[in-house]
Amino acid sequence: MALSSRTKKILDRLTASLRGQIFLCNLDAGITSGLIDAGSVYRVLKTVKARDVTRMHDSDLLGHLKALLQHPSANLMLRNDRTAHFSDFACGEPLVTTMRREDFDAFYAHSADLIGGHAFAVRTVGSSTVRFRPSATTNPVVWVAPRRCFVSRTIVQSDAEAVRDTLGLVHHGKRVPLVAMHFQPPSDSCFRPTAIEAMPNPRFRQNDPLAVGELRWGATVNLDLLDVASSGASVAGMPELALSRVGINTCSNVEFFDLGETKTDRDTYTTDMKFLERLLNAATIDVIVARLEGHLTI
Amino acid sequence: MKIDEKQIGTFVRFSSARISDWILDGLTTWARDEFADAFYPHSFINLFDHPVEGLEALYGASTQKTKRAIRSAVLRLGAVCRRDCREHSNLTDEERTTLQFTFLRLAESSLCFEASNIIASMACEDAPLWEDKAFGKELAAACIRCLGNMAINHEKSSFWRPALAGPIEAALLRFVTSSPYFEPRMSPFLLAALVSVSPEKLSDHLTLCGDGITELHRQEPEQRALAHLTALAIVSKAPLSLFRNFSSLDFRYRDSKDRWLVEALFATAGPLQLRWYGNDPTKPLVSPKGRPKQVITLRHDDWIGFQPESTIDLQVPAHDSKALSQLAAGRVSVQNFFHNAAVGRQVVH
Repeated sequence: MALSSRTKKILDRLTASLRGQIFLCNLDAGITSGLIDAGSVYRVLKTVKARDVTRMHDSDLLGHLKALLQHPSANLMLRNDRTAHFSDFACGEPLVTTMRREDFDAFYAHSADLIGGHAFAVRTVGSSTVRFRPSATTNPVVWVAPRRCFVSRTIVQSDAEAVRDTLGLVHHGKRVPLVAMHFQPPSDSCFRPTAIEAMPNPRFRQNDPLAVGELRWGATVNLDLLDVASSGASVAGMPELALSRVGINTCSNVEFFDLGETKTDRDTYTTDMKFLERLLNAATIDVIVARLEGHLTI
Repeated sequence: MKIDEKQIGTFVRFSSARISDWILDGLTTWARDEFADAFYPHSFINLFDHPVEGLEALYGASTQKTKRAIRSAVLRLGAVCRRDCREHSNLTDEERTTLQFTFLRLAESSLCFEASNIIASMACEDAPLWEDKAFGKELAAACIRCLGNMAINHEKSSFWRPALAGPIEAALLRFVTSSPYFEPRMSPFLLAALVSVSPEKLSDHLTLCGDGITELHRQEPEQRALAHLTALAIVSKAPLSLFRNFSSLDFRYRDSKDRWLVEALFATAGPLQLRWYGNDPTKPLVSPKGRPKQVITLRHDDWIGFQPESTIDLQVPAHDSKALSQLAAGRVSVQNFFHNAAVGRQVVH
């Protein structure tokens, strides 16, 4: 089966931008490691309209692809991974996920608490609450890291910059107030994240599921290390997994911590380049695209 | 995620109605989970963690015309997620809830003052209709938080007009007087909100919220130590009204209705300080902390029975005003502020 011209054009459009190239590298790694089904990806790409491929803005095309890949029609199977085990990952400790403070206030916080008493305007870094809105649910995909892997409890309770960097959340720029949610979800339903869930995070990299030890999970990219590390040095941050949407009131040991604000912006063109070089690993993007075309043709 | 100028330029070419339709259709489709790409063809919204974040980023970077279009979409969204909306009567409870909280978030972040009536109706009429009373309470609190924050932050919006103060004030008053979910704990927040939009009616607002605050102090005595934060809000938003109406305050006895306010104004961490000159105890001089040369005489017979926490600051440390402004901006903890403010201060009783 030959690759359709439309799919080729989509690959060309993605190749034209740095973020598109990062996505292609991870898509290729996901298909190669058997985590993503190439046939399903091909069928999803074929549903993109020809005029959208040529006319859409880069971000719109990436967003469109994200929506289509994350919500495939029922007969498509994009994910082959069935091997992640949440209990091994967390080892009885809570998981950690982060959100912007605005999101916490609007969708998770107990509103009456936020405006209750005289100190409604005062925020204290490191303060925590175990109260939340009873109807609160997470986003459709929740990225989690095990709390046991953080060097110190203080970091994951009061240091927005360190948590952002360790978890590779490059989209949170400078002076973004963050809140960490520590929790234990009700079930073991979790999965290894792929390029499809990671879109558009430009610091995601697909790990080999057959690797041993902590590397068998996903591993975040430590943004601080990436900025200073030489090309061969490790930039591994935390082990990571993804969960499907979960109601907060079904979780146990839930606690929200005000982490304060991030101090720097790590989202730069230079670090995009640096990260892409690591993903390419001395190959060129043409080699990756050719391999991807091979996957999608089969 | 950053939005580039080319994308903003796309929206400049569109009519307000088109942008507004796109946002409304996108949000309702997204809440219903009908199609994969709810925001097509401007699918960059999908790249954000939540569509609201994308729309906020768009609002922040847009021209005034596009902002107006987004605000009109917010208003329409508010009407859609009311329970009596016929056009969208087939929304499930879950979808409606999603849209309601999305609407509240967008209304607050875009400071869409025109939505104040809808928010008040949602809090007073829709919230009690939910079978799950806990959810009704949750929705009402979220509504009042949104309204209050809009009132407190109104000066940050280029769309603010004094004529908008009336509807916001009416919406806040409606909540206090007719919502079954109003609690004394909300009184300081509501007072700060009311004072922000109509400072000239300070005495009316004190009458309305004062009982709630007194009740709050009775229920939670530890709140008394934080009342200076409300006093700070009053002094920063309505100083003229405060001084003009000071003579009408009643604070002679411990249980007098305005006692909490005067105590909070002149507390150690409060915004004002007192000085006594001469033999007349009814005519002390008052100045803002850190600005001892800025004085006003506040005549009142009730001073006779009043012993404030701190009366005379012989030498006000320079860092005090900085600490106060930091606290007002929420940048330091109350505990830290108390500690810093105590250092170097000489208090004479």
